[in-house]
Amino acid sequence: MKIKKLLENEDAVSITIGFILMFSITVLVFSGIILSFYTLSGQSRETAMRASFDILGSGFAARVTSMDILLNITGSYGGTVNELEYDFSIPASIAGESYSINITREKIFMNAENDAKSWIPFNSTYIINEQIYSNAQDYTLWYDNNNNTMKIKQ
Amino acid sequence: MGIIENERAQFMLLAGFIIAIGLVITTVMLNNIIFESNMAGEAGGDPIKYDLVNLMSISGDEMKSAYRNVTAPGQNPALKVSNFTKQMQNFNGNLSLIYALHGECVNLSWDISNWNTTRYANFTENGTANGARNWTIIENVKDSNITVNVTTISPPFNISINSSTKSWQINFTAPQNITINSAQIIANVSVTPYTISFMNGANVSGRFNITGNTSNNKPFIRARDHILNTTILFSTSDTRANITIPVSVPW
Amino acid sequence: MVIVFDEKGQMHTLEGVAAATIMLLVIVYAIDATSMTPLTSSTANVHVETELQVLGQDILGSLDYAEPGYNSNLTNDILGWNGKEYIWDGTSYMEKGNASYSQNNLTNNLTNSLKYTLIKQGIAHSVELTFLANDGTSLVTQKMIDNGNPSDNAVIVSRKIALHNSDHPNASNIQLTDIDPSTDLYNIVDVKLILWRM
Repeated sequence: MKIKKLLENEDAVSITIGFILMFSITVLVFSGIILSFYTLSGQSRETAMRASFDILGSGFAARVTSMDILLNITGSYGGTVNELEYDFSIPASIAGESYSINITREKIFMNAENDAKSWIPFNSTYIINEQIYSNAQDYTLWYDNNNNTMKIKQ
Repeated sequence: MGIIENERAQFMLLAGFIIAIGLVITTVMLNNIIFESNMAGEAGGDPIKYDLVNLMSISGDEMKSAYRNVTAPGQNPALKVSNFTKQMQNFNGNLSLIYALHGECVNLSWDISNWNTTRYANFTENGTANGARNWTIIENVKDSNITVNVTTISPPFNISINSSTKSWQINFTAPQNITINSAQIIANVSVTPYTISFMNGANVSGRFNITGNTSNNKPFIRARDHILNTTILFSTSDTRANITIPVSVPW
Repeated sequence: MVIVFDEKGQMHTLEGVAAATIMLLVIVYAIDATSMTPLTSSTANVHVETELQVLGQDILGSLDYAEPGYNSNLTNDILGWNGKEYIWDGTSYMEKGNASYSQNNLTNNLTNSLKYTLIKQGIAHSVELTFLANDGTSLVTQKMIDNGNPSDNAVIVSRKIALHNSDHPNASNIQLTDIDPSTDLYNIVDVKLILWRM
């Protein structure tokens, strides 16, 4: 075996096949890189959504809590609340996804379709049990004095 | 010429471009993510409740002041309701102007049926039948004059005056009108300061008036004739409230 | 004819197509990614504003407490105010334009409260009063404490106070007049405390 021949042997070498191979491998590698960017962005999208949920949820909790405080203050005066309504609107989508908000007496729970979830601790002396979806953006939080509960309507 | 017609290393160039674009996009996205978590949410405080509570206290205070003015000695008793209504209407009109500054629409209405039918307040803490039945009116009293006029009673009801050493109960079994002055109180409880409380006042109604000085020589007055109701209508662009609160007059 | 049936440069064409496709993918990805996050102001502003608002409401609320038989401290301050503007000069609230006399300073419950709360924390503040004018429809605004123009993150907290003839308001404040001489109501004042961080 001649070493020189081994190293510089050009038998059965086809330039086109070599080119095709190089070309396809390069395309595959670059597609792989770009697709991995998508995965990265998906993960960061979830993180960003969670942060937005926290902020939106806290704002919403503050609003429900202030209605709760007003009801309690009126009660401490011995008065009655005949009607109390707050209008509010929530963004239709966060990071391109629609989401839903579920409120009970102990917590506010927000989740989106891509599984980003967030819990906001909360406490209310009045009964509230509602679920709203973000597509219909405008809601009204109102107090039902017949049943002593807080409700949400559109 | 050699450079322009050189077709080599095209993919390397392309790869360089793509990596550069990818880096730029990743950096921009990271920036945006950092901004996203700094997004201004609606997490601010809610100023409506402060305005509403302020409105409740200012309306109640005005009703008390108007009642005191029309029932003061030297005022014509026949005109008391019309004068009261006049002061409250002027107050209502001017209050709406001031609240309109903040974009809030305010309207007050008042219910003086208890006053017109001389239905007196209960001897509970807030004057209504379901208020606290045992409550302390004032503590740390040095000297005081108590005038109580009980009109309907379902016993037992007593006024309890307690000092650090002794306790004196004034029991009521039937409607009566009594006045107790400072000397009588000291004779019964021996030392100052003392505390005045009402016990079992839930089903008892009437009027009371207690004036005197506390141990720091600060004069005080506690009095109640009737409970009047006021209804507050409050609305802004995104809030509507309709609240009725009882107001104890004259103090 | 020559152009249509020429079989040369096939890989060259393919290269071009592949390059174009990759560039297209990159652009589509970039557009899709940037629609994800909005650019708005930071929450740092909202937190500061909320904190200032709560602080201001607490100050006004604690000054406005009144027990039966007495006026609140805030009401007494307004009744006793002489209508002039005051500026904080580092040690006390001196009258604007007339600071040469050291006795022209403002000392009341409000200033005492402000010295212990806002001045200590370095929060700039102004106090404005708005009330009804003599004709009953227009509003007059006067400044009690003026510390310049507020910044963008300024917060206004307000409290309404009713004044009565029986309180004997200070006559040297000529703009605060009796809007209803036939009843005991003197005027209704909207006390606004404007707070901002320097």
